[in-house]
Amino acid sequence: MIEEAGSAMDTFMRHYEAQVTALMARDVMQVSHTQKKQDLLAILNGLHQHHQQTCPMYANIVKANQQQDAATCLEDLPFIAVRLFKQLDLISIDNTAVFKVLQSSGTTAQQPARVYLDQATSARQSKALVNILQHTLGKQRLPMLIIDSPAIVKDPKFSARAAGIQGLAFFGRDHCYALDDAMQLNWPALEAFCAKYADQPVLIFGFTFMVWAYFIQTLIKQNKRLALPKAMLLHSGGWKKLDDQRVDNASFKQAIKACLGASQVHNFYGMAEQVGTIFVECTHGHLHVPLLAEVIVRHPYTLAPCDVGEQGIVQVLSALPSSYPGFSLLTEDLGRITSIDGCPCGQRGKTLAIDGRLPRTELRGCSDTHVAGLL
Amino acid sequence: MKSGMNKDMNSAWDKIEILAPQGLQNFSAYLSAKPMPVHDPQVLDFLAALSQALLKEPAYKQHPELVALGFWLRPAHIQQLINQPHSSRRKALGLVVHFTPANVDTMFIYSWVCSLLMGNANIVRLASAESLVKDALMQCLHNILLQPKFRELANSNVFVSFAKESPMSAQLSLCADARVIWGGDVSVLAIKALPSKPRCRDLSFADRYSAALINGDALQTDAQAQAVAELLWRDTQAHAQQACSSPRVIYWLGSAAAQQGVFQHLNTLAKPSAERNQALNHVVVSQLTQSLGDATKPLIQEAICALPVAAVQPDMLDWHLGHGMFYLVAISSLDTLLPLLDEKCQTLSYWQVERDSLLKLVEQASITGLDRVVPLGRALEFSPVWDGIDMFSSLSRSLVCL
Repeated sequence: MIEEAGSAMDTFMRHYEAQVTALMARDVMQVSHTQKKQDLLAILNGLHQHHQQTCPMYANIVKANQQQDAATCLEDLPFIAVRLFKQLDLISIDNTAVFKVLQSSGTTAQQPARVYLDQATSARQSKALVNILQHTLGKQRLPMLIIDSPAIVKDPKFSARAAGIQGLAFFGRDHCYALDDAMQLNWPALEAFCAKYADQPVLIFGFTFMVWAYFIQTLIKQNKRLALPKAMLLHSGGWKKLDDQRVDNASFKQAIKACLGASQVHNFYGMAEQVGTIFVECTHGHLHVPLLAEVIVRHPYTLAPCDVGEQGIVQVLSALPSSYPGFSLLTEDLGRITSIDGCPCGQRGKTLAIDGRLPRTELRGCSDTHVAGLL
Repeated sequence: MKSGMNKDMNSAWDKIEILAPQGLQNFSAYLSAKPMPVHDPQVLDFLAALSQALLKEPAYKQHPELVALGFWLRPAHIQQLINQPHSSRRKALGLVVHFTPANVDTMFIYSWVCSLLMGNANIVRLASAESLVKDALMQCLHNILLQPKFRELANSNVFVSFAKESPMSAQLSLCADARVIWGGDVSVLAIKALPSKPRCRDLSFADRYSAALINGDALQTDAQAQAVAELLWRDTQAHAQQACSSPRVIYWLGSAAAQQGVFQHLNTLAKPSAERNQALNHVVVSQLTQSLGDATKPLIQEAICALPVAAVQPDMLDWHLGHGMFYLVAISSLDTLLPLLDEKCQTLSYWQVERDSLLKLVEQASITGLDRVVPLGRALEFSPVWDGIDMFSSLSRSLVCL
């Protein structure tokens, strides 16, 4: 009996891996949104069944909502509120198969999200990241400047920030960390990097807030510039912390140009609960939904799908996660679909704009006024 | 007025900021304030003036909580409360220190009024969370307390704020003859753990939840469904359903036929004030609950959410985020309600259930919770007996004269 179940699982996994590989092999310049949706629906319906069989909590939720059956369109697939990963251990593998536990960086006192990865999911995420980023970065590994401190990746508590850096570090070589352990600019390291690679294409990566607050602002304050005109900057993590500093994408790019001489700047959107599924900004300034994912924007009051251009809550669907039931997540982000098969950069599919986050309300009971200082 | 001016500079109390009445005296003077007689005419005049201001002045009209407070404070109602016969003579306890909750921003006024009517001097520590209602109320109290005729009262009652991290809670605890402690279980235990005078009385109002009991068999018409929805709205609109006495659980007795109608009407009432994250919060709470395995599909999930569940579990009450989230539990008879009422359950508000049979049920010794049984629509009405505690007798000394 167990053997039978095991082999059924193996059959599913082989078939599923083949589907994902085939989807990644397709050309993002060629595949129309309609074609993509069909391929993706087959994969996601497979994952929907897989997680019902392997994750009792997921099975309970979809059963309660009478969503056990395969969906006929992506909009009808069930979604899980991403906040559930903070409260529950949503896991679809045996504990012994856990390869890595990702913890989201909870900025407040809240519990961090916990995402359980097995080797297969982790490998799939890395492959997807390569698949998506190669379109922007090319196949060559460039010398790489990381706008963070090396201490962050050494921390034994594997944070999403460390995971992000580690994932991206794969795309570069001769890595240089721009900040020291005290989060100050490491001038000797920076100057050596610039001296060596000033005229060459280099890759710079950092989280948007870190790049702005610890790198650009310090350069401006110290009235210094770095000459890296052929650099390509990739950044991610959102504008939320920068809201009060009134930084938008345009002024961010302007500052990069002024400080580094670089004009290739690409933001990307993604989350710890779906590592590998990233939405990269093209040369026309639009975030693109990759082949192995889909975005549905939902009306904040009714959760019904929005029309193109209408602002709502972002739902992200991804073909990647098999070790946890995170293939369809309702995020806390507000955004809009800006075009379908219509971006002048030539990539097909949907483009997306992220407008910010929903406000949080996490009060509890007639409570808690007073505790922190007392305990 | 600059806040710095109200701090008691160069003293052990310099972390304390006086919110109302400002500018009268240093904070330390309140520690040695003299109590007043029980039901002092000055106190009754003051409460009448407060009531009048809250009901008449346009600035408070936009806050339904304050209008409700003004209505509760009107002289006829206060007279009704204090005219209850009692067997002994009463005197003030002395100094009562109140620790108030953050998210239910007017509740503490009611317990303060009870203490005031008993003649106590009071220090009320307000949570530092920002709240328009709280600011409006402090302004109102300040204005009235500054009137010369309330000078004695103003010198023995003060509303303050101080940082959570400061040692002020501990210092105040040592001065208190009674502590009124509102808050979550953790907050209440933290305050109670602070040393106090040996005879200090603690009145604790910790985490509770409340439920409504609706007789589905008596719900025949759409007009009735509308009426039930309006009563539920009245009990849950204020404080975004976060008050302990707002029902979060609905025990539905008998026929389920009218459920859809009631919740549709309630949703219509809640829609205009719904927040942008409300539906998402409902999804979060529903899915968390559904993950436990005995919930079904929500009857509605928009501005409000009605989630049928087999029974209420402690986690579900922790996850609850207010804003019109209802756990719906079907029951076939009143007897089946009995094992469902735990000690955390505070108020049961009922609709079309025979009062006598209900009272017979809740009087059973096996029910450890349930301190209030009220008609639906009156869950938020404060009474001086709260959480099973008689505030008047708890905040006074009973004098025996043979």
